[in-house]
Amino acid sequence: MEASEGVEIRSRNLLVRYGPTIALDKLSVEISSGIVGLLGPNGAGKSTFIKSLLGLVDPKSGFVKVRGLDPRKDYVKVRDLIGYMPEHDCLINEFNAVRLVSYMGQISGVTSTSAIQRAHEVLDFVNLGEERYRKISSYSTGMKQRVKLAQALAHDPPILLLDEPTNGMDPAGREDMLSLISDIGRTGKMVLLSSHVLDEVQRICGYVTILHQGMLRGEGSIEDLTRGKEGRYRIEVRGKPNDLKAFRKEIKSRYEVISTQAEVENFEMVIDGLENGTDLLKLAGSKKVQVRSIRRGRPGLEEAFLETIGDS
Amino acid sequence: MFKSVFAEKIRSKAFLVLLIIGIIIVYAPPLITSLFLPHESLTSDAMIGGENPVIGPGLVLFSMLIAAIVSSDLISRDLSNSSFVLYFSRPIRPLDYLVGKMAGGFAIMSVFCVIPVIIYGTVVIGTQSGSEYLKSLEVLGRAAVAGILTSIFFLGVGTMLSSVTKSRSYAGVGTFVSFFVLTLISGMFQEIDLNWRLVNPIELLQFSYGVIFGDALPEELSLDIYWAILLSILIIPPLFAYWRIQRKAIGK
Repeated sequence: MEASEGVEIRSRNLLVRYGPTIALDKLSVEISSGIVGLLGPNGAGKSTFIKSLLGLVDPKSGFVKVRGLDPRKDYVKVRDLIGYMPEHDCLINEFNAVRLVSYMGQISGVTSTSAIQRAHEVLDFVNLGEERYRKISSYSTGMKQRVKLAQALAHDPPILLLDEPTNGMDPAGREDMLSLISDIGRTGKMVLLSSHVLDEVQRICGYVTILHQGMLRGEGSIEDLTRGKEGRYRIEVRGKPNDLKAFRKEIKSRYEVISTQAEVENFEMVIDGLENGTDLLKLAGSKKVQVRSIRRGRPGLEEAFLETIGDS
Repeated sequence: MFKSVFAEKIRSKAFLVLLIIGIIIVYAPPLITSLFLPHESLTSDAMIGGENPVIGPGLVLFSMLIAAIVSSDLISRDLSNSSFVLYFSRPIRPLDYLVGKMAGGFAIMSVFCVIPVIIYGTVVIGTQSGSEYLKSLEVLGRAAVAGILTSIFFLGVGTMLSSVTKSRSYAGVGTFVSFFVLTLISGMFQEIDLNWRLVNPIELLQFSYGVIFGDALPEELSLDIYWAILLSILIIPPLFAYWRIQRKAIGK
């Protein structure tokens, strides 16, 4: 099968089992260039999907292709295209960062001299200073994550698979890591970012693929996923407690209430099914409450995600 | 990978200690004897015969110990710290990985099993009074082959055990113990059939040294069984390690 234009990764009916457990359940997905988020709760099959891209798992049926190449048959060519940052601790603790990154570069076919030079470049990029000469066993989690990212970049691959890259990092470290990933994305590399931290994905990804229980549950741009449904509005109302109570009761009888945040003299509500704002204003007038705002109810990615996996 | 394994092992304190002790015990006495006693050429007897053979039980015993140290973490470390996945996310095949690791291990084993043998032989040839240099060189060549055989013999088993456990200690002790157990088994059964002597790794290597230097096996031993056991020990362990690596590399 030939690769469609712009499609870097494609799978069709990909079935992966670990004994009786189904990790990927006939997954069909197409992923194009850019920074793409691979979302899903723990156990959704994100890591298995990434491993299948590297040819590290044996699918029972279906196929996956990276730039038109089969990772099981053409694994040498495919792995040449890919830089992989695993989720778990996998670094060689007895090495220092320079040695590890250059070693990984050499294994990928970079010459010894170029590999050392490249190791310093990528370690500069991930902001690892003089610590690069210390043994990895003495590194903090954040430093290890940086080294993991650096080794993935060692052979300058066009595709990066990052599995939970901010795992175990403090807030400042997370910020730095996300900024680095954004910078990588701007260089034209395709980045597949697997994460269950939706806030991070929303900030740096343009497109997301949502997995749940090994199946594709949704995909699309962040913009599309978080676009409010037709008729969904977020309203903010102010008034006396008794009037607010009566108004709320009336709203609930007329529309579907998605969420409510109430205080003593005001509340905010997301409702579905509102066709005409004037009706709402008339209702507010009759109940003696003041509508302070009506706007399209855009859900956050988390809300959209929960809705997506809940819907399926 | 070969360079990395070699560079790391050559700096290992345990290896260096064993190497120094081994050289003092195995190579120094015959070297001193050769330097102080006049000799016409390098003979097979100097290598595998006499009171202090260069290629004899001492070499076998120290090779076994060094193999246990060298091969113990060749693969087990990558299994224990999960760096296996880093290797196999790279464009290498399981065979490349195994060959790279074993080649590094072999180079280290050669530092004890092959290079000193060649140095010894060269010194003896350099101080010989006779003019039959070609004959001496032939003996030196055979001695180098014996050293290579010793390296591969122990390294294969060590690598196999390193591929089945995440513990370096288990792999190292396992390598040593497996040869010890074979020695015990050989001792127990050779009263029934003398061919059981071939199961003893020290005796098997001693017979192999004889074969390399042109001697025949003792009459009571079967040549077919000898080859079957020798090839099994040389081939099956690396094949098993390859099978393990391949399974690990595809996540089974």
